[in-house]
Amino acid sequence: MQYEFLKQFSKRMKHVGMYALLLQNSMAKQTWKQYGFMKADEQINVIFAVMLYIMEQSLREVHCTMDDIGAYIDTLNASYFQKSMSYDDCKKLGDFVVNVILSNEGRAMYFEGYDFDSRIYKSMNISYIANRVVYVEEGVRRTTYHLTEDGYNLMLSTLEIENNMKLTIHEMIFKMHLEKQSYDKAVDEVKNIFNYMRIQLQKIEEAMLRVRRNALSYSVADYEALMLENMETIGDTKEKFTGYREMVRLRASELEQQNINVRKLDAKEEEKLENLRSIERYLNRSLDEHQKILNLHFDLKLLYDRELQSLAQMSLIQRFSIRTELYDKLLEQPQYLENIDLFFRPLFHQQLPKIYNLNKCMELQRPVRKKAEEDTAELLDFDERQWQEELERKKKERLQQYENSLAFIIDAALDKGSLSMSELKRLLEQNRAAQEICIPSIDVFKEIMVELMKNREICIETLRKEKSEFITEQANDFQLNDMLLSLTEKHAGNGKDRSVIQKICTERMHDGTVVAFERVPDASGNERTIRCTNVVIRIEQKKL
Amino acid sequence: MAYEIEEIRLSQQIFYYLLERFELREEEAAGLYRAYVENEQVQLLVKSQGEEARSSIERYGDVIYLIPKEENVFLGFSKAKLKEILCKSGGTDKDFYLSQFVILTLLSEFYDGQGASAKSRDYIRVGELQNCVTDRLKNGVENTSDEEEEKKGLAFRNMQEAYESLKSDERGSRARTTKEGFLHHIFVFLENQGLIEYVQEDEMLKTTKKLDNLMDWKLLNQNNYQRLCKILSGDSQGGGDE
Repeated sequence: MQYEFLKQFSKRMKHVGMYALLLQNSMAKQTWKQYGFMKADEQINVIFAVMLYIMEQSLREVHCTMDDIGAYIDTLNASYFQKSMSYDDCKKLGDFVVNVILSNEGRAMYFEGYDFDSRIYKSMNISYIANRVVYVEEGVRRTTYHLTEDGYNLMLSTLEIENNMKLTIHEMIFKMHLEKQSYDKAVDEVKNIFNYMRIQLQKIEEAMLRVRRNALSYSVADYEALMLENMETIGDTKEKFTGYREMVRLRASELEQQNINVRKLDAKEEEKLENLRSIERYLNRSLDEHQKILNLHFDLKLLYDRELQSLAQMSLIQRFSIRTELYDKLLEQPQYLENIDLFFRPLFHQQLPKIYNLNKCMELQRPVRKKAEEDTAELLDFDERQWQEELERKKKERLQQYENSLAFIIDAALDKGSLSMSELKRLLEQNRAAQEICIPSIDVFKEIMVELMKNREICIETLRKEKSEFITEQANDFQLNDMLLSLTEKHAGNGKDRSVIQKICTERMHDGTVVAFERVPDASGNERTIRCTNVVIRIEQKKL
Repeated sequence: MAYEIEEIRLSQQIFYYLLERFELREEEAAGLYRAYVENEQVQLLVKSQGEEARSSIERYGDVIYLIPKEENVFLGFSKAKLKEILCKSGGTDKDFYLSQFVILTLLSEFYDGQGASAKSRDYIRVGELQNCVTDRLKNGVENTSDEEEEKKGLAFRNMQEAYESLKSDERGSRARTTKEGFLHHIFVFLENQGLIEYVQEDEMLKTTKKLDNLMDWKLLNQNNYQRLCKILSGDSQGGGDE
């Protein structure tokens, strides 16, 4: 799936659907108005009050009949809502809430949540309450109501676990999963933990922004709650997380050791290892967040102190109302506009006039040519993109030089199966143009030779295998192995088939000869002579 | 009273800093800020220098501001200069008054609060403000009868005409002959003055801390009210215009 976060979307929708259906059932019902509950807010408050009552009754395993609900509403109304309702009205209202809103008059209720996995809307059944028939005293049959599982979930979610507990709970779950070695679940939990830390961090940032804007819109209660949450979050999490990280590392390395020394890991174990690694990654990030929260915590404290102080001063100012005292008057008396700019004046600043310093005309003038050069350099500075492109282009050019040179050497060696430096020298002496390809500059040639000597023996097949197993970044500088691979895959222009190359061996010849290449340009363009010990490059071909 | 040379130097540094930037924030120039806040002598010196420069130096929160007085047309704007910037060349008085009206409307939308701060909203979209201006102009026109207009010499009717004669352009043209363009230039000016944040892409207007401070402490201060009344009734012409 493209968006990982949509994975459990339908689960969330179920949750949301419980609210949505409830509101849908209650909205636009005229019955409310009969009892004097005009605003939607009032209505919803009553619904949840009733649901809470039903929950309480069902938890105590006491019957909850319509009479009970009516009596409950009556009591509530008498002491709190104080609408003009008789006991009968209350009962009717209870009936309305329970049967119409919560039960949809007995019809099943569905909410459609989109399932991104299967790309369809899934109908989800939602029911808040259910009823059953009971016999109360003397064999009278009554219906009693109780909450369903959905109903419980809904009611429980209205009073969430306190924020400062969430982290602790997730941490406990994480620990349990870790101990049970169910690492895939542990990954989910550690993600949750990390998300909580991020949310906490963003909360602090948000609070700081609000304080900075207007410290009054940020209440002391908010501040206290946030501070407590912070303390909870940063309390002992650091040691714990570090502990977990150690544990995870240990287990990961155990698995790795096993992989190396004992036997190859099977797919399950591979997955475990992968999970462990991502747990470690998340733990690391959580620890980073921890540090940030710690810093911000103190910043917020300082900021709030300071803003409150300055607010205390500001609240002493008596202000007039811009709307009534100024704007409305102005609407009646347009001639006020004539001078209104005087009111604005304290706000605006004018650019100060500049003064010409006569001495400027006597400043030493630089020669024009040099200045022109400087100018172009400045231009490049301004356009960073262009400059980057230029750099890139130069790098590519240089890389091309390496490739040409290496290709020349390989091709020459491929011809005879081996190539020594003295043979190469002879080749280059015959063909001046070839020298420019083979040795464009001393350092290019030198680097290639040094790399070849360092590697001594290069097996193309191993290289290819290695490359397919690892994803490496495309390097912009010279990498002998990469280049050899690409050369063998490329078709040589001169009809040579480089794909037959199997091994390239480079070794020093101990015959004591020194080969000198003459008139070779170095990096700055001066011609020099290189002397090097004789080296032979042998190429083994694939047996066909 | 005797001053230390070091205090004088500091006060001069502070004043020059203010001349350059018009405000001195604690986080940007902590040394100078502290000198101003903690040393009474330095503060006195800076204030007196400000007085001589026909400005007032005020500290609101953790920022020190240089506020030109009304009659100061060197640091502040004269009517003519302001008109030059806000209106297109060849703009009439009507255009100028219209621009002033727009600014006032903007301020009264933002600072209608009665709490500890006058600020009453977080942001306003350009479109909403545009509608506000249209509505208010209409109110203004309805408020005055024809004879009254004659008497007063300046009428909302004229401004409304000027405003409505500006073309409306959905594509957000920046030409000053359109409503959007006219407002755009006012907003850009206010943004350059560091008073509002104007996000053109989202047509979003937010006030800066500077404007909040100046409105709360200075412009809407009850002490300023008497002066305002005088200004409005035309008693004080407040220094000559250039």
